[in-house]
Amino acid sequence: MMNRSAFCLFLILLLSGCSFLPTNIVNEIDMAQGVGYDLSDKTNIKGTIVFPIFKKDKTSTTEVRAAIGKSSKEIRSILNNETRYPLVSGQLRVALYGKNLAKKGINDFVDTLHRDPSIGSIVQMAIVDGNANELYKMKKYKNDNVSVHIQELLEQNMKMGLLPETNLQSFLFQFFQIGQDPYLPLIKKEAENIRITGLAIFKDDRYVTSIPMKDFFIFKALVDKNSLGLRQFILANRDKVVLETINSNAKYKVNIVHGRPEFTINLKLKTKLQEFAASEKERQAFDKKKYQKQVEQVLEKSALSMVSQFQKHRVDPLGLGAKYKEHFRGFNEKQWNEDYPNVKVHVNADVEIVQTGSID
Amino acid sequence: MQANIRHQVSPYLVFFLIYNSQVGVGILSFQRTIAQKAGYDAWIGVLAAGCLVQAFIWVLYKLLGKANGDIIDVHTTIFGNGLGKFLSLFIMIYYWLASLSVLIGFIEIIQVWMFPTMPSWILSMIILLSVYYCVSGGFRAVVGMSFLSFIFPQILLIALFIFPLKIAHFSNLLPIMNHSFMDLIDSIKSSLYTIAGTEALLMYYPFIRDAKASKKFAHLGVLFTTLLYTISAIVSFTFFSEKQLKTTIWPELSLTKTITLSFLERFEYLYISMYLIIISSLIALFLWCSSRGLKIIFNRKQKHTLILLCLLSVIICHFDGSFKEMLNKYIIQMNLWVFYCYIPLLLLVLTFLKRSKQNDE
Repeated sequence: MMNRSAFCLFLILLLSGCSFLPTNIVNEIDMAQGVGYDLSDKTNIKGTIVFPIFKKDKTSTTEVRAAIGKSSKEIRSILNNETRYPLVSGQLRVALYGKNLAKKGINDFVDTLHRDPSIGSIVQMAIVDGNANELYKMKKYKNDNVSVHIQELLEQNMKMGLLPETNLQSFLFQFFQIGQDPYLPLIKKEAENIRITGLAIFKDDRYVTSIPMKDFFIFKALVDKNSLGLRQFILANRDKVVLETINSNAKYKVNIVHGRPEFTINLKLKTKLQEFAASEKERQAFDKKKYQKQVEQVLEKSALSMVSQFQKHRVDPLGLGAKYKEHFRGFNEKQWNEDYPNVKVHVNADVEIVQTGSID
Repeated sequence: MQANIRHQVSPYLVFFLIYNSQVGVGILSFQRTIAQKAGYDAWIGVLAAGCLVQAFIWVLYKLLGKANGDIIDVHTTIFGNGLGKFLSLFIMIYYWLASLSVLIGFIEIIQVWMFPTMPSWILSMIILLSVYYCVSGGFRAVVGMSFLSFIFPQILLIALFIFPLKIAHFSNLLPIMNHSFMDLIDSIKSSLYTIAGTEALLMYYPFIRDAKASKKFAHLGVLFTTLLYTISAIVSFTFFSEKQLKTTIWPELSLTKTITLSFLERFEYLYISMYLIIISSLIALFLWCSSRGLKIIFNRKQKHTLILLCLLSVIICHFDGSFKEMLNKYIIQMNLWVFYCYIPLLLLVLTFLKRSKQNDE
């Protein structure tokens, strides 16, 4: 009996170990949902943290705070001096980087997202054409949670729209992959709205160039496994054809000609016709074969011009180097970097219009 | 020397014991260590190491079947009472150190991922209390724990392998066999320690009813864990790019971050907590082996040796530091030399001894 009560006492003492754990009660912490970084001057960074404030019987508001510092955790600890509750980062959804900062390299600020185990790897990242701080501070989103807004804006466009899939994990994968450069969405504040305006292409962790909205369709088809999306084709005789992808598949082939790699990209698209306006006013049935051929030519041309733009800037978001490495055992990174701008790339598009809707 | 039939377990349970003894904290981090030199060809090394372990199981069954007892019986038949017990002591210390390295590894994971401020001694105390409770229930309780540690985590493991498939880059594995033979040997060496653990059979062999019949279950168990490790390596290799994997300490835990369900956003907390079952049953098995060995060697009660080992573990966990790296380094060497060189030699010696005895008669 004595033994048992001593054991119980021991267990009670053991429970006091729980006091070593800091408690995080949900309405007594400030959950940072969005962070943003801009270049402030040569050595300093302006960091912005967005967190919602929940009030009883009232709609929640979002609080945007900014501070100037050298590292992202330093900024957080400066901001912690202003907030009522401790700032925690477990609910982080969006990380935005100003374009000027991105030109200098964002790796220092991605490192903490990668390192901190409390941050999930589904965090969305984007580059702001302008200033991340201004984007967060927009009045329109004061009562609407701005970080969740941006996250959902990006996610729905990746799932249903034309934006290629990116997030923290994909950025890190591409950043560390030999023979590939990362890409992230480019967003902008335009007339009191947040818009996706392009895709930022990186060299290592530095922003180099961007591709415009109109190239999204072909880019997504080239990098994503099963891309959906809509594109309008204006053909030579001013016929308008709008196609929506149902199924896409891009295959990269590497041939080594005279010791140099040559790439052939076979792009297969299954599409359905969404809109059709012939230049002749007379209503006619849709001629699948004729238009498939013309659309293929337009696609091939725009793909080639996009690839040559990448080559000009020496960036490789398609991961051609990685594909070359898979097929060629004697891969040499240095040699490849020299060769890349002059490498030959062929694109064969195979567009099949499988449905024309309920009319033909 | 066979154990009392009341303490024995059915032969098929060896499958779960083997699984339990092989899967520990290693599976959370081995992907990085094996890829250190062999790059993304390292999964071949895991398969090769699995074949070696199969051979090792065959050696164990031959050796223990000849001696019809545990490793202490083997030692005493060959070297006599004094020296035999002295040599067995080293193996018992190995069991204890192995359990300690698992414990320290798991505590580190809890501290990094869940509770950064929690002191080690509390965590080790909580884990070892449940382990003590389990081991003091005898060998059958340890086997029951092994069975549970197999059943519970399988669903989560399957989820872990299916979710990342959506963004898997299988082309990462190409070109296959792009590394030198020596690099592959290195990956075999580092995966041998990860899938080590079958050596616990040296102690629990007398506790298996109809031990000869259990051999096929032991081979099946090793096959299962080898496949598990290979798949786990391939999933990580397709998910991370090579340089990225080299920066990640626990690739498998980082993998769980991608799993988000609408009702559960952070899967890794569930995963780490679930790992407590696997870890504590593994520690229970090794501490049972160690404490039973010490009991026979020093002729004490098993309860006393067990308490001593637990207390030592708690103290070392509290004062670790540089000790952990040293421990891992030595234990890998010890495992390789003792079990893959010394034990096969023992088998040879024992076979010659028996043969010469038969000739004498």
